[in-house]
Amino acid sequence: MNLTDLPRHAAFRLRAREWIQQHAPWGQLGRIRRMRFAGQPFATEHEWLDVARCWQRQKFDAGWACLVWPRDYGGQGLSPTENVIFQEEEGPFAELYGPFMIGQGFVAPTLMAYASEAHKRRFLPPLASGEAIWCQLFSEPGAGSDLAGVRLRATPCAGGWRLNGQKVWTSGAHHSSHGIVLTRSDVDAPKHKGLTMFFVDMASPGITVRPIRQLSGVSHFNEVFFDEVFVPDDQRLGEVGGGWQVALTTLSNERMTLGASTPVGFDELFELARRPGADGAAPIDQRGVREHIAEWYAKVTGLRYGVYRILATLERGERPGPEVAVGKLVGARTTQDIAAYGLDLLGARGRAAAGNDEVAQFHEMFCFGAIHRIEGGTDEVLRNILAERALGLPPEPRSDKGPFRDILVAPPLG
Amino acid sequence: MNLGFTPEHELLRDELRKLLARAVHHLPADAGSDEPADAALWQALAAAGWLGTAVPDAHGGSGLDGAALCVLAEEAGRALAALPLVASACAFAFALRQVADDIAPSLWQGLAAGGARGVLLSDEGWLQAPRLRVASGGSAGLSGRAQHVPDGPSATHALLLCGSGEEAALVLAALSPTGKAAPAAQPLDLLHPCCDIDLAGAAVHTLAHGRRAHALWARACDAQALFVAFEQLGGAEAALDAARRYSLQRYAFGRPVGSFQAIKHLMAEMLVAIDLARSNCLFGLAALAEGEDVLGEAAAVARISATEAFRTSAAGSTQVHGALGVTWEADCHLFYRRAQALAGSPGAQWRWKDRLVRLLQQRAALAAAAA
Repeated sequence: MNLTDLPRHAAFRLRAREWIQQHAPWGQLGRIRRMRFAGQPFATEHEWLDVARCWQRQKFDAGWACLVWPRDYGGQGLSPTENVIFQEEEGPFAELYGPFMIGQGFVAPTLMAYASEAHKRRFLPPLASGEAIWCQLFSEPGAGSDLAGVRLRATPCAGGWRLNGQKVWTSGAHHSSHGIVLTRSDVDAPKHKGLTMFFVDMASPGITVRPIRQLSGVSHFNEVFFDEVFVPDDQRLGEVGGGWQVALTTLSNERMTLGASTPVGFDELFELARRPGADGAAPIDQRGVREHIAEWYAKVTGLRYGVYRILATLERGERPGPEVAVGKLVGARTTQDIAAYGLDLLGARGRAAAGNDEVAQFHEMFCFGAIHRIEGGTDEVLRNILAERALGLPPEPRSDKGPFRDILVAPPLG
Repeated sequence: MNLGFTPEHELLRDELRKLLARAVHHLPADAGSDEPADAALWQALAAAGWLGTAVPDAHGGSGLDGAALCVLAEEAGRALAALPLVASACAFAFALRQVADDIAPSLWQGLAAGGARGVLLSDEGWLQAPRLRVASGGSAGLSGRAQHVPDGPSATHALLLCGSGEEAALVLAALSPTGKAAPAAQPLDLLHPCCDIDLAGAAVHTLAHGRRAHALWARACDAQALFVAFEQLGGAEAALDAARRYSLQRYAFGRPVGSFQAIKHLMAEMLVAIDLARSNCLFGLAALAEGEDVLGEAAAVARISATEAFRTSAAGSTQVHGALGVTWEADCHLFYRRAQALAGSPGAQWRWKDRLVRLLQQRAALAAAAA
């Protein structure tokens, strides 16, 4: 089925398959599968983190971690294609990438582009080995899709900056050693010109992390408060006032990483539909069920081969276009649709998981679908990106030009 | 990774697109009754060598591969060409290429020159009881009737599978002009007329028997599905292009209508459907070239997603054009009708979906048996 592999990639695939076969944590397979839709099958989050860290460390020691990074920073200097092939071969064990996705996938490319050489050599290898986990402190209560509207203030002081304000929806902040933080350093400049990016030690005095309970009941993300937090100036990423450019580096990696790795629940639905019920009939024997399954399968293959097309573009030395947004847009909606359909098929059995892993997984998928349509660029933001950058349609009319301090905010409630 | 067209194929596309820009969409009512409707364009394509894309070079063609045919199909769809390009120059010629040495040089030359045109009688819904009778002297005759054959009116030849199991025969029929009914009235697709074909009286040439006939036929039908998927993809892209251009020219409330988010998101959804279909079609192309075992699945997903893309894009483009879109002043109605016509054949959507799920079930059963 690897029709699309070039010969050198086929050889790489075989080597990866053998190594994974020998070293993956097969004993934990059942619980690892349940991680797919952000479930929590381990007794504690720490136990899950230990399993994930152990696999990451093994990969790092054997030269299978962060394949696309330069060797000097803990990677292998390989291409994105080899990285995707390794993920495909990892199969369910790729779920263990979860805790490292933000640090390795979004933060690291930002550090590589903007951090000093000394910082890169110090911070990137522990990110690659899984020893360090980093978070991305971007959204705020008043700035999500409108990310350039962040208000967390950075004020210059002796030797650096003081940070005051609040971040929210910060995934993994509670087990991160560091984070990159987008701040407002100039309220008199226009919105996109008054931003500055830093990285901070999460143990700095003045940082408070509070978990937020999500739709699914678990707490993967947090609100993070900054109260007179000191950051040395050498932890600034990019120019003062140049934070928006830095953030765009992070965001473009975010959309691409999510798109390439998102499971949509097709395999789970297919398995459920094939199982005979009490009357001996399997849902898949019904024409209506077959039609849905065929339509979703054609979406799954479209997404998979879409990733291959992006990889082929990268291999030609070209930058992929805004169409990379398609993967995340379609993946999230398809997950939500498949989950709801699976729960429909389960009928009354879907009302409570009651210890049944399969039902629990459809619950998780159902919650994950709603979350995934919002995180990392909402459906609506992605459609705007496609319309404006891929189709060249006019941008939205704006009322946020001029100095940032003059931009309207919502009036207080009541 | 290895998905996409080569730069050489893209050059072919550029040349072809220039020529197909001459396509005429509003033709006399009787056009296409026994010649391709856009007869001038058909001759121009023959003169430029496009009709011989799959014809072996020994017989005056260019002997090109499946990828060149996919380019031809996509551009035919984009141009809304009122010609049997996909049916004859792509699907029929590709099917004959599998048994190239058994085909008379005169037929190859006729296909390249445009005087001969073929169709695959592949649809379960159209074909009623085709039977092959072999007389004691060895001469064979056909009976049976194919209904609503797209591009049937201009066809001179047909390829079909007769019988089942070991009795199966892959048959090339030279159609008798009297066997073809007049183009069916009130067609859904205004550019590709269809008609019934009575197979009695056709001159018959049997190309393969039994298992080999089945295998050749299955590959021919899968390839046809893939070419039609590329045709749908081209149509979907052209409908989106038209919507995009119109939305930037047409002003309402003091702004181009393409600046309203409702319209932008509608077109973004058209783009999304097209992007998924393109990925599936390109995988189908890879399977056609070297993935015999996955061609059936690849053809099915390409056909399913390209159908969705063309329908979404044609309906969306009509919506973006507003009242203009539901008149003959723009081409929206042609895209809209053609998108639905191609959704229905070759192979109704529910049949493709059923077949895809059957393939997935077979694969899962094999995997379970191996484990």
